[in-house]
Amino acid sequence: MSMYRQLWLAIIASTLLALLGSLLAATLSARSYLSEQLSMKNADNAAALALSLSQKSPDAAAIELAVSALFDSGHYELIRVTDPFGKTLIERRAAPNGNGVPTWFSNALPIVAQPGLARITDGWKQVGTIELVSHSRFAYSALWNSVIELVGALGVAGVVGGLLGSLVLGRLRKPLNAVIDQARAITERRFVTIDEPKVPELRQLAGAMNATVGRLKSMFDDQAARLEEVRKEANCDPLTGLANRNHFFAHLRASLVDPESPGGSLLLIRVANLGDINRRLGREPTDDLLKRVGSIVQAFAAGSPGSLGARLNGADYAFVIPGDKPVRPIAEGLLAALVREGASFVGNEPTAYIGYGRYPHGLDASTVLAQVDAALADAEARAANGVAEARFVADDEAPKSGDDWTRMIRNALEKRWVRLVSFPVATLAGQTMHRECPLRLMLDEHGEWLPAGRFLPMAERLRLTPQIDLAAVSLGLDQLAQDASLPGLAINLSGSSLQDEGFRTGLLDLLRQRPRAAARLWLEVAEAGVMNHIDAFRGIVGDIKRAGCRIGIEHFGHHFSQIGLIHDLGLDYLKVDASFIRGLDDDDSNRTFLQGLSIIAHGIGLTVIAEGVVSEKELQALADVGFDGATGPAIKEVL
Amino acid sequence: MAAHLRRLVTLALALCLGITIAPALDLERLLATFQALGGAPGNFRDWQKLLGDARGLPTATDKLRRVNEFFNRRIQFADDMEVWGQSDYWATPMETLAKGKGDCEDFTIAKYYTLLDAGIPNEQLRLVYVKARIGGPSSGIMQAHMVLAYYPAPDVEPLVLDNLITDIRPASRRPDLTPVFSFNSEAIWQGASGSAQQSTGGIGRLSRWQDLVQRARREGFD
Repeated sequence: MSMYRQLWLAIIASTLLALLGSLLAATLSARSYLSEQLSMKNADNAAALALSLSQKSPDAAAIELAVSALFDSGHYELIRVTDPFGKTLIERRAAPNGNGVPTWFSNALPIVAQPGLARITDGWKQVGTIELVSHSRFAYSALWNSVIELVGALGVAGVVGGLLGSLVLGRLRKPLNAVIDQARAITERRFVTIDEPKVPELRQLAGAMNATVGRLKSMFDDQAARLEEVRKEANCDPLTGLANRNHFFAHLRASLVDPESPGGSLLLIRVANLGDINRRLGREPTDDLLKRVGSIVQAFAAGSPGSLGARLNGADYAFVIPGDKPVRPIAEGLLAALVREGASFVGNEPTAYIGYGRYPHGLDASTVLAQVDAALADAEARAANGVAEARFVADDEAPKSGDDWTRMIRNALEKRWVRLVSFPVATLAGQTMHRECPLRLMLDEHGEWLPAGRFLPMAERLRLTPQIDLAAVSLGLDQLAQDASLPGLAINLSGSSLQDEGFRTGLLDLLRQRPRAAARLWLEVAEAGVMNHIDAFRGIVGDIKRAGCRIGIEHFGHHFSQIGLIHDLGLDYLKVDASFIRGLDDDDSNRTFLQGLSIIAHGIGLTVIAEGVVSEKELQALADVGFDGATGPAIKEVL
Repeated sequence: MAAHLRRLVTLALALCLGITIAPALDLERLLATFQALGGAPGNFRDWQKLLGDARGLPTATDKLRRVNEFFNRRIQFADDMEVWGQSDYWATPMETLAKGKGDCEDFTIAKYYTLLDAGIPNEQLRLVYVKARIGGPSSGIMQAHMVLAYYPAPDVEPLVLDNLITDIRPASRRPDLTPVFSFNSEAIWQGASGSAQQSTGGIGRLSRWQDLVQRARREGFD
């Protein structure tokens, strides 16, 4: 039985006991008062009658008259006169006609009164003895009425007491529940703190738990900070903070392999005459220039979601943008910014050269690099600030306008030209955990199914992701309902959808309508989406978990330092971005990073899955660093 | 035979030592009360002896005479106002004996209790309120008075035990007394106050008689 219920019962029981006790005490004392009064009345009336008869030489007729007159007043049950030998001379007895109260009541609480006895004498001669019993119905009805009134009054007191009790319990219950929720959250490895309640005992408990959580959190933060250092060391250029050469190429290769990737654009940037500048200005100003270039590249990368800037070596920088965004304006903007920034360093010499090119999905990384590098060489050969383009494909279709996209995406959703493709996600032991199912859209009757990477950036800009994500969730639930043997199915949600009120209610409605399928549904949001919409994400995680789904973050790792923002949400899993996985078997520092990451993630109850695994060696390395599962080309279908 | 003999020996021993065999009397408690009231020890011993003697007497008349004589001689008549500082106070037998003084009620009560313990049945004894003519047959002075009446049988003339005269006379030879009302402990309801379930004082009013019976019980009369 819950503590609340026990307290409640204890209050009710003690109130009832107190009320019954006082009822009993009051009734018994009233009864004893009444029977004493009645006995006294009997004695007094008998003595008065005997005294009046003794005054005037009573004969039988006088005695009978006096007895009858007294009896007929109606207040007597019995008046009897016996002679000195005990023989009855006169007896008047009332017909039994009840007490005017329920029989059970008079049986339970009998009012016993002593009969009154008195001697009648005539001079010295004894005439007889009067025995007189008053009628008890008045006493009974007085007692009955007083009991009724008492029950009424005590009932009211009981109700008031109960109300007060439940008020007090209600006040206790809220902070108690808060403490219980906190304890439950801690067992789920969500380290939350609560406001300290006003009740002193609970305040101490909550204070102790908050302190424990605080210690755990600071330990956790320390660990995360150390690990962030490791990540930076392994993946970043120490001078500019941009990605380093290894990380950049891993990222490029992974994005070329990823079936969801739409292709993208690569820019190679070279600072002109770096050797001359170094000789002319010395080392420190040169480093300063390199840092400034780095921050310009960083700023441009931040302007396009999913893009990555890197410093490859000495004077060379690189910049990759996913999707088919027009790249020439970006290249020219970047060059203009560089020229502006570099003016004080270079004098009349050129500042930088940029080679760029848009590559389709599926191309080999070295081919892409070689061609863009050739374009860079072209630009450099002109010996002036400039950009040059490498052409991989002829643009056979004219770029579509925003209105065209809106119309076509709406049309596809309406005609249900949507389907899910599916890739296995397995434990490292080879057992399928779930299938990751990205959405494909068909924009026209020609039947080309576009991967998410092709339409999602556009859809995000046009705010169409809520409809697309709901369609994907609905399809996923259909598949789960059809195939009971499917252990799980993962659907990607856009970060921008989470901001949308209609999406949130629509999603929760879908999940609640089909709880059995929802229990096997995994929902994931890309790390960039989570970090850009962190409040919306925090707001919906609880609802999604209550609906029975699992929820996680995909493409995780670039914003590792912000893990503190999500540690108390009770997430279920992380999918670590392919760029950290690529070539893991050769990369000691990334192994250290991933090992730390999986320890921290396991510490807060998360399952850790690697994305984009291409080789058995990588799989082996993942097992060494403690990952739970993997997906990618190396993960074969389990039939 | 042996049991019979043993009973006789016990009886004789009890008589010699003046110990009561009536279980209703708590002599130790009575003595304690008596001493607390400041009575002369001789008086109590004498009363105890009287009780022993009276019990041993064969006839009711002898018992009456012995008890009547004892109190009429030993107790000095005095007003309640003088003895107790109250206009009308009914004293218990021990109080009367300890003070050695009392008015007509105190005489009557002391005789009544002593006779009950001497073995006279309650139903033969009556305390009687009487009008007494003082100062000879022709006197017109009447006074409220109380005597103890003994009825050998319910329908015969009673014997009157009076503190005004030493003789015990039949009622017909007491023309100076006019009975008004009679009672004994049987006919007066003693109330819850007289029984084990003592009232919590809810009534707050006791008749003189009830009050007296209660006090006498506390002293050791039962």
